[in-house]
Amino acid sequence: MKMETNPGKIFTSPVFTGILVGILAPVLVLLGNPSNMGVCVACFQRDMAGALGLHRAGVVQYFRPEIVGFVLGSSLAAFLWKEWKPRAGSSPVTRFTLGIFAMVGALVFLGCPWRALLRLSGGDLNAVTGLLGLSAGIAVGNFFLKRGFSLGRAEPARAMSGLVLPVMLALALLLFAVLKPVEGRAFFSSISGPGAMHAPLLVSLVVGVVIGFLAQRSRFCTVGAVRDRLLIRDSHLLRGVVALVATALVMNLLLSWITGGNYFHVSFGNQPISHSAHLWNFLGMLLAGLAFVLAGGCPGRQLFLAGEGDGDSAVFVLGMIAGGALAHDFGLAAVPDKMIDGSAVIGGPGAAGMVAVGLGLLYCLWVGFGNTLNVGRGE
Amino acid sequence: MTYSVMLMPSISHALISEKLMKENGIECKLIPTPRKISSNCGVVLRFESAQVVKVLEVVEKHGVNYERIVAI
Repeated sequence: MKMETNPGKIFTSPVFTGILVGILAPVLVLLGNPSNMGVCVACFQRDMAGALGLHRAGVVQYFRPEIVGFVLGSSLAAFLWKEWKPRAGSSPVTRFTLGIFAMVGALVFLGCPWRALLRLSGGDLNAVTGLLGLSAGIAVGNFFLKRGFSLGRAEPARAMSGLVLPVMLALALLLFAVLKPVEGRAFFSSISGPGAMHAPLLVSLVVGVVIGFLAQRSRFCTVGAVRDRLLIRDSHLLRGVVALVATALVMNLLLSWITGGNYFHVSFGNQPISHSAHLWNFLGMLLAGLAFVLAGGCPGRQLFLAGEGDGDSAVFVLGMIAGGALAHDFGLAAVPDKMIDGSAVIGGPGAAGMVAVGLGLLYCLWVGFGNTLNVGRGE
Repeated sequence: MTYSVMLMPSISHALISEKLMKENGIECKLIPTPRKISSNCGVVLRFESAQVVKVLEVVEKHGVNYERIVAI
């Protein structure tokens, strides 16, 4: 692994971002976030949909400050380094719908690519199945990129347009913090289940800002990492992903040793918020990976781009939040494995979730074949 | 040897350009966008600066959009 020597360059290194996420995510678990879920963009956006009352699954409602921090940290870095570039207009409706299905795929697996990596570093072998599915989805996405797939060019937009998402998220979080939600008043906040498990709000926000800041500088992207490795044989971003997993693994072992808690055990079954319906772990992430490549990056990267003023990524983010709402309104999300009377019951998606994954894959194929560059026509 | 990179609107543009360059015998490589350059796309096409005229001929002939060319 190449070491960066210039101190200024460290901030632009995906490896440094990966190491920092690998340290901070398990710390967030120690401080209250759900297991192997220090950071999960999909789970957290689903929780935010719940906090806004867009779905009424009472156990997954919380306005996650990490997500707000990701966007604001990226905005801050973009402002400081003059990379703030408001832009929009590249197939917004297509992107919104890709966001919906990316979320459905992620919730059938029970996590975004970030959580898949964190689950792997906690010993959850289902993450291997999920990451194989993700890579397969990325490979299908690359097939479309090679035959000239593009959602079209974004146009420069006014500053206000790029500020909408960062400002609205910041205001909503402020309101959420001030109102201290009571059932049904402005926001919802879980009193049990994963939504009730969270690190202190300010800590989550600061961690989010730090990660957002660094990821904007380093272009950290979990999906871009695999895409570039397969497509142009470049491992620049992939090194950051490997650093994340390795660091989080060391952190989990350390935390287990120090606290006596269960931060690491290797198995398929009995893993936190995880199921071992292998086919659906694979297919869920296949759908998510394909949707992420077509939209241009992993869910984290979409937040960082939105922070830079990219209105199209902001639309994808809103699509994912809508997808989180739909997934819980219509019972599309998978159910974790459970122990009932001492015997393990395998979870996974219900029939509706399986159908939704199929529809999502069909939609992605339509998007893939329906958006081909016509270079001769000046595209 | 000095290199230049062509910034593209999207990764598909970059892939198409790479293919066209190779068909026309121009040595080139897709690389991640260098950090000092700001671009909408994470991938750029790198080629020897001496080839810039030939590169421009090919993209203009095939009507491929590009953002700009920068010496690195």
